[in-house]
Amino acid sequence: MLVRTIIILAALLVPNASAIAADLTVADDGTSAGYVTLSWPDASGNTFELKEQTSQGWHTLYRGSDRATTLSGRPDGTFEFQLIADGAPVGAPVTVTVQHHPLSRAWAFFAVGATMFIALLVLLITGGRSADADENQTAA
Amino acid sequence: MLNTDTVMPVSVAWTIIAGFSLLWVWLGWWLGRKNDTLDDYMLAGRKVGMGFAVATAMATWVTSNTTMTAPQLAYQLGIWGMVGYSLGAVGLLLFAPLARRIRTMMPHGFTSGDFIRLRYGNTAWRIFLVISFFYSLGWLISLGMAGGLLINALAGIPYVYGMSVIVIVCTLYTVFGGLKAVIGTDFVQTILILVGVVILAVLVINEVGFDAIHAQLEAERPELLNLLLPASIMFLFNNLFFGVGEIFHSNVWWSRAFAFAPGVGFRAYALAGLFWLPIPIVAGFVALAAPALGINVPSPDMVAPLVAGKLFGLGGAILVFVVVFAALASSLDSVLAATSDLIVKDIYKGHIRKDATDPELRKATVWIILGLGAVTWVLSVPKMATLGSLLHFTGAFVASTIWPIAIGLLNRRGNGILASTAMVLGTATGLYAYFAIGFYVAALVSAAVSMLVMLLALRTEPTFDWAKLNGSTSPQSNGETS
Repeated sequence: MLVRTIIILAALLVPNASAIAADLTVADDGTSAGYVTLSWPDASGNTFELKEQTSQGWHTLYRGSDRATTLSGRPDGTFEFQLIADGAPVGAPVTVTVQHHPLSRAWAFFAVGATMFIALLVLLITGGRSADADENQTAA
Repeated sequence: MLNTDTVMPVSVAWTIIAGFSLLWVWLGWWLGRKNDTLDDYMLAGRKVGMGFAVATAMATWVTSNTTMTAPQLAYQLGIWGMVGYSLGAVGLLLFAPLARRIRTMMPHGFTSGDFIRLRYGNTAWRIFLVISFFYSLGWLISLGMAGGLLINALAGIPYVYGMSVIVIVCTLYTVFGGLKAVIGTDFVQTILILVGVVILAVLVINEVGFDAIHAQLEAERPELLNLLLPASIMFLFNNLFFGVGEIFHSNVWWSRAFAFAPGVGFRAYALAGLFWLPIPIVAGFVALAAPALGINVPSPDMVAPLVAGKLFGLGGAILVFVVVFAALASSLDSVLAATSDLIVKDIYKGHIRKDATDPELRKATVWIILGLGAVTWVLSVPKMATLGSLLHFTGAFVASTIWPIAIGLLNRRGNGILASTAMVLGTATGLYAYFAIGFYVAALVSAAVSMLVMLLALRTEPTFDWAKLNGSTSPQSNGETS
């Protein structure tokens, strides 16, 4: 158990390959929830521009000296991004596909949670009473 | 540096840090100067009154997780992200009756480990200690990380410097004053947090307005407004059970139940839960203003300080800084104190030096707090996960303890084998769900599997004798339970 825990903690804390790549990479992939963090921690340059391909062409999402950005609230779909550093493109465009969980799965988890919550309430209310009764009986 | 667009001069940031650091350390020394016994140091003499009790429960539960992770979840999961986060209050509310029962059943108890050992035996106790220690470490690291991120987001001070200051200051005043210092500083910190969060929300509404925030979200991030966003629906009860698991098992809350004067625990936890409920919604709402303000968010856990800094310049940055610094300190000291209690009583006294005297235990507590501070610092240096993902990872562990604790406290049925199996299977399946589905279901899956196992307990004979819980303070000299 302890070994397994340490291994998983290490996996969480040790930097992954995308974090040390020079190009535009996905640092935090939450595409099944509609969010994603794109980063370029080791790209050369001082001023960066992150562009997204839209039906009207490339649209600037961010311009400045930060080295990451977080996008969220995206609907299902495929999105294409390009990083520009000091006016020059960095690597190839990166494609991100957002696909939300099916609603049926979401409601299934919700139902499990709601049932368990009601069960816990019942235990706390009825269990408290019977435990008090037990104790009084023991004291008597 | 993560964020290059800062609003607070470095000199101002260091001045605030120095001022509050001196205040907390001085308060720690002043409050702890009359600590005579181990009870005084570890449990504030077991006579904490209602005002301090409510304040410490609330301030400890308002952490970096509330002030920085609630905005992160609003930014990632939308409306239900912040509402779901506020369901963390349910943990405090449901713990209220248990706190009363714990105080009555174990008037001389010290730690949550005491209860598990007496109720379920040594195997379950050791599994519980691993879970609890791992959770505490995760919480401590997330607090250290939050300190570094906050100071970096607002002033551009390198992450490691800010994180180091937070960890060192909190370790120092916890060492000086024990639980009395923790509860005393919590009272001051609660006032700062409440006033600061309310001012910030009012300023955001006045400055940006609901309409502008809504219009921008609808255009750029429509799913954040979607009340049927699947991941958010899955997250709602997950966060509720994560909070319940954190509070039901953690010695942070048990040590307070032992420390509060008789009759105080129930009302203190219930009131703290009610006061805490709106805070994540207010803090989360701030994050939703980021798109309307055109703010780049390099890491989602930085969104709250970035919005405040952008909107209100230096004044807003200072306000957020004070609020989050207070929230961080109030939690970090609590976790340090409670975890050191657990290590001293359950590991040092229970497994290593079974014949240690109270003065020796007190000395060991100081060294263990310092050691925990050092370990926290070392593990916080490589900032490699977001606060939300790190924290919810621990949800798989703590949610597995909910049912063994609730059934164990309220029902004479169940035994150590079932409790151990529930914790191990719950944790394993929760971790699987974390990686296979997402962080937003780990605690829920863990609690559900643990419940299924503990349902078998209700079919066993009611054989446990409640008297075993009364009058016990530590393991016998051989480390085993009778």
